[in-house]
Amino acid sequence: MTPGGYFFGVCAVVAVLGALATISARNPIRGAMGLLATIVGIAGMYVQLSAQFLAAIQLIVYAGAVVVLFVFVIMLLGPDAHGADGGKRPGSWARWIAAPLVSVLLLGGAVLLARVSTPQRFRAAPPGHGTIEAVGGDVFGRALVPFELSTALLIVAAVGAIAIARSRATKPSERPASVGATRRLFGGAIHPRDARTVDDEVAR
Amino acid sequence: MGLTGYLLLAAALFSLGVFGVVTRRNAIGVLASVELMANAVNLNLVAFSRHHAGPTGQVFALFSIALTVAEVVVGLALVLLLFRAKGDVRIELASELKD
Amino acid sequence: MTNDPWLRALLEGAAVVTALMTAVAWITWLERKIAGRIQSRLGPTMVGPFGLLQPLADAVKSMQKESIVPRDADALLFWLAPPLTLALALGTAAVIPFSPGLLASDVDIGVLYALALSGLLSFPIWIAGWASNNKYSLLGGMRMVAQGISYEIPMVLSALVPVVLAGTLSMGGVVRHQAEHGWFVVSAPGVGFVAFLVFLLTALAEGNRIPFDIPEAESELVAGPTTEYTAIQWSLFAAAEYAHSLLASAIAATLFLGGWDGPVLPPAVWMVLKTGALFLLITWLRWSLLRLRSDQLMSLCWKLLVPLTLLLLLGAGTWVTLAT
Repeated sequence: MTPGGYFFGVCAVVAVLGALATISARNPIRGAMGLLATIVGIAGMYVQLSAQFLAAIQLIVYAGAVVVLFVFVIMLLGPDAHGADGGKRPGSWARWIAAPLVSVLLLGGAVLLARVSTPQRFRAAPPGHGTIEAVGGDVFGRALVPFELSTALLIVAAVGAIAIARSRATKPSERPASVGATRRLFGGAIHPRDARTVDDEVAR
Repeated sequence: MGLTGYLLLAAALFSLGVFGVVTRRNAIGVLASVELMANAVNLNLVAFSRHHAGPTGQVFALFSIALTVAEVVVGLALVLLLFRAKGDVRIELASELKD
Repeated sequence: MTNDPWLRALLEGAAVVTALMTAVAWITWLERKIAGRIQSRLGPTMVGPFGLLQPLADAVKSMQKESIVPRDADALLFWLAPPLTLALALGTAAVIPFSPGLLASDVDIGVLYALALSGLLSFPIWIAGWASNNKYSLLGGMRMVAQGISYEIPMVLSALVPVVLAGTLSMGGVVRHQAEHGWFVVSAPGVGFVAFLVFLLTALAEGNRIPFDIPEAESELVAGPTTEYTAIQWSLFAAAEYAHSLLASAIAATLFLGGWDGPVLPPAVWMVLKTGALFLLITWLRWSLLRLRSDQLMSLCWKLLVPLTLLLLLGAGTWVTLAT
């Protein structure tokens, strides 16, 4: 096995373990950290696919912005953000049959296709593949219109998110005093694991 | 390491993401699982870009990243709104059209 | 030398990390000496001549102390945070050109890579604050993230000014351009100099140094995210902070002060001199200034620095267009 193969293996293990943590963690912060691991693993693969520019973008945008956003929202919600998984709910058994079925079918299909087709090896990358010149030339050449549209989309998304997050339901007077955001964040449990005990004490 | 390895890994990540979307009841968990699926797709795009030795796949992945960011921003704002309206972030609470 | 690129990369990386950690150790000595002089004290004097062996004594001390993990902490994340912080802080060194031939990797996205790692640095510190299960740690960690992602924007924008002026994202390319056309801090009238000041300021904020050390404000938050840390793990955080300050100085020297470019002396010496001068400046600021309040910090960033750097970027673009 080549060093490149080992590198791929390490990145793959990190990415898959992170993904498992993301979908299974009870604690949403652990879930977000799993997502971070997956993102970093995939950034490593981008480097190996000689897409250095995309790897840097992946780190800046996904790890630096998206995961931070997740973390901020989780902190904003406090301990109530977790504990929602598990428990009885209508039709939940159907999900637990459907989910593994879909996943196994997807993965099984992929493995089957990989077995029957001839393994594809990469040719040597042409010089300049994945550099900022190559990607930038395409973005500001053929893809100029979608690029400008995507900037509009981002602005609209930012404005929309602000509009949604501060809509009329947020009047402080309508919020029950006992679940004030400040208490949830710092007057209550600092660590989601303590949420139950602290809330019990408050109830008493 | 060839194309096949990357495609298999992307498939694995995508199926894990599907599993998460279907089974998680926490709206934040569902959004995180959607992120997993988007990342798996991006990995496919970049791997094929390398396979065809052209930049198109990477440009596509770039746009896909921008789209995902817009999606996650609005999605998390909706989660905040759901939490304010219902006091919880279980996704099935969002199934009613009127509060 | 071996021809295997992976083995070479490993060896070079090990060499750079060893050199950096040695530098970091004696920089703590330097800082304590300067701090002492500024406050009319002597600083370390007991261990070795001029207290020069103090860093070794400190290292031995912190290694034989007991590492305590608080009972209700998230043990896994608590253990992971310090080494992650140090790794991210040291990772930047890979793209810094110390002399024309001495550069671990001259990738074409060097500047972007350094900024990406710098932006990620607030993450492990936040993890530390969260995993400690201590309200002071958590408050400090949240301040760290808020400050980190806010100041990342003017930092990236001000670092883009030399990138626009030089027309390349490679660190080596930026220095080569300056060696031919003059340092950016003086060329492109005004624009380069203001961008340099903004970059230094944001680097201070990213590394949470005074006047921006709000995350670990010891008068209100004990020690912020590192409150629960002891022994070698605490030392890792301290080393990461110094390494970040040092590397931020090196990046500022590379982007704005011409890196290894200079007359008479060999290039590597110039690089070390410039980095050292900037680090001394940071230290001097640390022991002279007061701490900002959180809201002052945010309004400085969003109301002044972000619009200012956008204007600078516009100015740099105009300058390049006019010059060609």
